[in-house]
Amino acid sequence: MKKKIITIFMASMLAVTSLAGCASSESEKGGEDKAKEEGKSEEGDREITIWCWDTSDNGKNMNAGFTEATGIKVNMVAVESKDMTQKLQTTLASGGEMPDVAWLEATYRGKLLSLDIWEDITKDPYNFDTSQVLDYLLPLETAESGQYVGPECPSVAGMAYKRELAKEYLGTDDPAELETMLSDWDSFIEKGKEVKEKSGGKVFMLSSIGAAGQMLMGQSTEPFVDGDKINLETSMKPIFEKLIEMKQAGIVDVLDFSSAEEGASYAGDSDIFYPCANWSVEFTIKPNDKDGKGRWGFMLPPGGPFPWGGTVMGVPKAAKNKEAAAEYVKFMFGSEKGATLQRDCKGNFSPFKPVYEQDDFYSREDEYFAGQDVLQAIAQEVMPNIKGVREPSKYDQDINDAYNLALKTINASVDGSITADELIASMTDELLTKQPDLEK
Amino acid sequence: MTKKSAPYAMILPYFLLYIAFGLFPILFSLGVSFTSWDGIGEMTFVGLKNYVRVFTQDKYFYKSLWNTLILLGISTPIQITLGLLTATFLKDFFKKTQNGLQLINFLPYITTPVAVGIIFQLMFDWKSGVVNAFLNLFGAESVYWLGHAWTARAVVIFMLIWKNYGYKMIMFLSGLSTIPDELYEAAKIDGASWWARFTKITIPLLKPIFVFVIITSVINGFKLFDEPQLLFNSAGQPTGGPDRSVMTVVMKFYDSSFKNFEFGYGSALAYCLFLVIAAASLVLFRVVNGKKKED
Repeated sequence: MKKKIITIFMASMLAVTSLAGCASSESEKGGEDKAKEEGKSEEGDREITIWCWDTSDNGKNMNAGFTEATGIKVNMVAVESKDMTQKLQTTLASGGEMPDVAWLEATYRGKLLSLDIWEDITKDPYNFDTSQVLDYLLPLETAESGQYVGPECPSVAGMAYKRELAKEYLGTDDPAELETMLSDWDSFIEKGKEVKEKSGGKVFMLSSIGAAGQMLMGQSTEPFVDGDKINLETSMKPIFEKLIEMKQAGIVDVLDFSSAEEGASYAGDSDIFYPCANWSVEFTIKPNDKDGKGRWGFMLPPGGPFPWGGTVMGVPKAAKNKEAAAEYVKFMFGSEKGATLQRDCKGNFSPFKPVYEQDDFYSREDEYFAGQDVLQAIAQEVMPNIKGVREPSKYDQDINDAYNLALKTINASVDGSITADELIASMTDELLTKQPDLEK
Repeated sequence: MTKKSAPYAMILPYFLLYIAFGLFPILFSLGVSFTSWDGIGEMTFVGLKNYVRVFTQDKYFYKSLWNTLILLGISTPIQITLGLLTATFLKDFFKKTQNGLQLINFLPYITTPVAVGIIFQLMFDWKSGVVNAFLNLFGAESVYWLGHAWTARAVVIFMLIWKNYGYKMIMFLSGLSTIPDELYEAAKIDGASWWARFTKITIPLLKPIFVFVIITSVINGFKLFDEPQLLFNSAGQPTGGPDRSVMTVVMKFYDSSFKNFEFGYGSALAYCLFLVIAAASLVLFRVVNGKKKED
């Protein structure tokens, strides 16, 4: 009898402990659901959850400003940009709790916008006013179906350079003079050859083929896929031709784009120019070149400024606190108060048009850039000169992957001994294999 | 509860968990493999279309299979040889320091794959990697290890060997401990050299360990994902490295399922991989059983 009791007890314990995880999470979830019903936290305050990849103090301070103004608390949950789609999908499939706002990064934006999971915040009861958003951004925030998903901070780029190297090898570190000297890519390549000769091949104009590609890709607006038709011949071929020309001229360093080694090169003395988005100043240049005060300059690149990056704020249809989420989006991206918080806490630019009517809204001398007012340069020289944007496509990720493969090939080719036609053929083949719905 | 039902109650928790987290996903993904599904919208039944696409349209399935076979075919024999030799040397020549050396050789196996990926990325960097710095010392040109197909494969093979031979060594050490010392002593008295003892006693008596190690290596080899994925994981890197030269079948499956959100097609790929592994295991079992009969 004793044995029997022990057996039953052990079996029940095993069953209970194995299922305890599921049971408790279910009951907790039920409790949470009730508490968070209609966006109210346990204390009775409204609260929204944001899935984002920047949960730094700067972001927290910015959101604290929103809480102070509206009483809505903000809970930030860290999700890597590349994991966002997968996390959203698995949460939807499992019936888990969706975020109230999700950050949708540029590389994955085409695919993410194409998913029919976003609330149209321009409609009742949210009424987000897109007429106040910078016009060039709207196509980037609209799904292929025509639905507006959400706003983003403008992410635009110029070119940063190391003053000392520019002065030594190009004769000046003045941004205006450099812009005149390097007005187009042909003169950039020619000057690059001179730098190569002068430095004995030790100093390069750019750190990686990818850095050059980033600028060239941003400067063109021709779609890579037109409907279901691959359009690489007109859109990508000129970019590859220019990249191969740079490789052949030997003016670009051999680093892999966005690699740790390229990051380390910011503090080095081998590479002069880098593409520089508004976010690069705080997130790339300063962290990578910790002793770089006064070392940097900012200018418009050959061929003009270009859009780079951008993170759309999406409110999922399945979010629990959609109205509070829309309120957050409207405050942060559609008001001067939000624009001020974005600028002061994170150095972000706002998509809210009226702030650009004030000349000094974006203005701050930067000691890293030897006192140059980079914010003002971006607001007044870069932003108005953006020629256009390439509209997001659900094939963006595949195109990007095939493009990265082509960059590797160019970088690995000895002195650029590869043709643009070969790269286009291989890229087309890639896309057709991955997406059988596409046509040549 | 009766005496008869008690054992069933004891094993019930395991089966409940297995059904929930093992059997159900297996059957569910089989069902999904006959559909077109992006994970969010409606599933559309497409019959065998996904399987037809795998075998007739997707050249990357064959390429990834070929890559997997290359990585597996080259790295596994080296891992096994190295593991066996290390185990034998430790047992025969390093009796006093065996435990310490055993741990040193086993450490790579328990190192987290993310760290391994970063270490190898840095080591084999074209410009600042220590491997090229070493080559430069002898006047050799720097090699773009992670930029060419075969050099990238070589790096992954080296990584696999370095990481896994320690595990093989442990397996062989456990096998060696079961061989009676008397056999070696008798052979020594008869004048057998170390090599003769190794080839005539150690290797034949380690046969069960060889069978286990080979079969598990092949199965795990087909599931290869972490190492090549982590080497080419940063933003500007193409999936599967240069020319997709280290894209394995599991990477291909991951790419289709979780990057392109073709869950139906991804499931079909997973089942094709299952068929390949099952076929390879069957062949290996046949080979082993055939030899047993001869014995």
